[in-house]
Amino acid sequence: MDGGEGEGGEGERGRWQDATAEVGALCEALGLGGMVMREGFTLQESMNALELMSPKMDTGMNADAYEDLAHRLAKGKIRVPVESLEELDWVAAQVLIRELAWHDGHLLAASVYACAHLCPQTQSLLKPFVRDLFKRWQDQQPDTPAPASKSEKRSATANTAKDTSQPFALLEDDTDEVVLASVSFVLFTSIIKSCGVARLCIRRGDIYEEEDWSSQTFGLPLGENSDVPGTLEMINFAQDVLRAAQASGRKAFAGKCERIAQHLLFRALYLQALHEMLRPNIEGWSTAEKLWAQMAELVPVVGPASVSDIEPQERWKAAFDADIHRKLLASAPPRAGPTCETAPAQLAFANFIADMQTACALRNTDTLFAMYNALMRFSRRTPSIVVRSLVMLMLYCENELAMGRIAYEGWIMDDLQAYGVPVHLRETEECRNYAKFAVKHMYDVLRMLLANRARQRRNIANLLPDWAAMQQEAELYDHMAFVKANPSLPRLEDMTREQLRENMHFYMGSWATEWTIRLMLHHLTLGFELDLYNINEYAAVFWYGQDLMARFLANRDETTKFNMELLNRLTRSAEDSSLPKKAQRSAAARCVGLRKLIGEQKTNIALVKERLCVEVERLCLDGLLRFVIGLAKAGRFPPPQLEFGSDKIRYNHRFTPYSYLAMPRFLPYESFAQVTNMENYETRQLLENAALFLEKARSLLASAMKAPNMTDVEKAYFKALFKVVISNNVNVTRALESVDKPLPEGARPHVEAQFPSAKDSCFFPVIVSKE
Amino acid sequence: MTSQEAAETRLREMLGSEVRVTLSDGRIVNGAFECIDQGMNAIVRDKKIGLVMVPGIHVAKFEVEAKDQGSKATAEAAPAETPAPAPVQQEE
Repeated sequence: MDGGEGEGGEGERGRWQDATAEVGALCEALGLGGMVMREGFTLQESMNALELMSPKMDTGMNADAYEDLAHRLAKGKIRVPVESLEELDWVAAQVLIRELAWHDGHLLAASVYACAHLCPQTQSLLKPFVRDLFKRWQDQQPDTPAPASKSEKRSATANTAKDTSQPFALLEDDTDEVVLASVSFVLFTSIIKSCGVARLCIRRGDIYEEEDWSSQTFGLPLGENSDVPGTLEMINFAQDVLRAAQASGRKAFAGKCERIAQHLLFRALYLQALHEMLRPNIEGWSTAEKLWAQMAELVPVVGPASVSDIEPQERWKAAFDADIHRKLLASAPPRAGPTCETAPAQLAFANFIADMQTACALRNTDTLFAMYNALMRFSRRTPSIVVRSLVMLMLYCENELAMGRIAYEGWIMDDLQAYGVPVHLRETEECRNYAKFAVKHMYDVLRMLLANRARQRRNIANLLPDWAAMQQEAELYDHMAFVKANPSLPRLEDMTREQLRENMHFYMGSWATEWTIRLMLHHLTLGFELDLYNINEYAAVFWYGQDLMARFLANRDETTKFNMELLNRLTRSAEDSSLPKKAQRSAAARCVGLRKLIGEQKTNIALVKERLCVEVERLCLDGLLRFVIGLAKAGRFPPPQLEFGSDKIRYNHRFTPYSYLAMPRFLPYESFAQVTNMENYETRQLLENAALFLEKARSLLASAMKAPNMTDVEKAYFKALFKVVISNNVNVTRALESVDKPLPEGARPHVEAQFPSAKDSCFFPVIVSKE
Repeated sequence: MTSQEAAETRLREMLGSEVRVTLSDGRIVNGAFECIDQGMNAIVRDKKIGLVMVPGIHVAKFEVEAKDQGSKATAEAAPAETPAPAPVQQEE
């Protein structure tokens, strides 16, 4: 490597052509994840490459140009304290952008602490300004009654309704600089403290992965053990100082006092809300909900977009540098600092507050299935790790209660009832023991939904073997519960097959199978969302998906059918005078329970909606399956690029997580190959059948969207799925029109999957055939 | 051909040829072009150091060998054409 520009003469310079712009443009055109490499260049080789300009690997890099914070302060490149309230307003908004970037996984040192004003060196420069004024303010505070506890000793709530008609005679001959320093010191301290409390929430929730959030602070202070009441007291102080400055008619405080007061109010509410949400047994969540509602009103006022009309001076901008802690970050994996654009940050801020409000509302969920659905919908919003961690704390409070009030065992028993397990079986000790056994696995399912979307897929693959064990245990408990509840029947081993089929149903096993299929379907559809499937895998995925959905429906139908038949038998027994009175009474009592259960199932809106959704999605997958096979048969599908392996290897790799399960049984590649063997079909027949299924899906969706009791979220999903079905149907029609025409000379078939409804959380693809 | 495919094709044409990359701190890396990605992070096989990766954000200048110079160099470097062997006389 040459040390500088001292290369050879004219001949040498003429040898080289500047291609910087061209290469830059070409690289940009590569698209996300795009890369080109010389043939034979391997990953292993690339790992040996020395990374230049990295403090870890490049000892020769010229770091003279880098100035640390001390240098910049000494040279006056950063002004401390801020010079105006306008500057403080702009800085506060910029810090908020970086705080959101920190929630998003950026390093603390490269995001929040990229602001020089928050660093300990600059904060310590402000302390001398603040000390006397703060003491004077404290001396002026009215005496408060004896506190209930130590933590409330200097308790102060946000000063939302303080009497401002008589501002404190606070400011004496304090300069504007002292006032600005005091207010900015408090604002920055409150930002650091709120980051500390957020960090505490995330660590307690303990669901973060390395890509979610970086726990490293690099020694930069966050004050996790901070004194939230003490910080709130300081915020009150700053608000009083601002009021006093404004009331005194100082020119420097004529304009922006109200805006800075709102920044301070936001920080106070934010700190309080997090503090309340960390209280045991979610005691503080109803208070927190009100606080988040207040913060939602402040979003347009203190968000990043609120300062878009301010033209920042160069010295303001100089206080922000993601590289400011380069020496600290030398030990960390190299990572670029966050890109800080106003519009996305404003949206992220609004979403963060809205997600917190949604999280608070989750505590009112009553049933296990409702919580599962709520968390599925919540997860699609991709909430930040702070929100997800708090929801985790809500799901597992002290005494192993969900939301501080519901025992998981009871939740599971209710879910068994909703599924259709009759009361005479639910009352057995065996059923209760199974519910206890299921607690950990069900909790794991809810916990899985709080991981990020990619990790959810991995976590489901890890959960499925546990649910295989759930099914095995269920079989045992089903046997024992049946025997306990039916002492008059022969022993199981003495029963004929018909007697067994007539009398016994694997209720708990079927319930476990239903939950297993839910997990498998979520695993499958996450593959679309994460764009994991190669286009040549779509036939297998559609086929497996529609099969799972068919088995989901059949599983529930079998239980319902068995219950109906059982009801008929019990009704006959209750009226059979040849039976002993006791037996008749017992049959009659069971009839009452079963009749009520069947009625409740029919009116269980959540289960009815789920069934409808699965039916529609199944029709959609059936149509798509026939469409892609039809395209392949018509020669419109590009052949797979299989350098290593085969279709079978790819199939087995893709569906390996399902091979641990007994129910539903694993579908081997041979079954897939046999069913989708193109020789069994005609192209036109396949495409026409595809159109038929898609039309059925369209018709069912059209009536579903008009049904009452649909929430806005459900309507939006059905509308999005409707769009996908229509688009696919149009493409099938086009394919039918061109099926008999050969491809033009030199044209290559090309099929791609598009996801036009992804923003509405509908990840079913639209298959597009091109040339 | 999509723009992505065209970009890939053009970049592949450059692979293997000699390039000169100037870093943001003024140093120059000179060697065979091995690999590049969307962020313009380039791997070059420097003659003195071996494989180096230059982060895209630190690429101040990216130079390739000028084509006419390259072809002239190739022409100078190419061995002189050997005359066609004389037909073997058939021995009678």
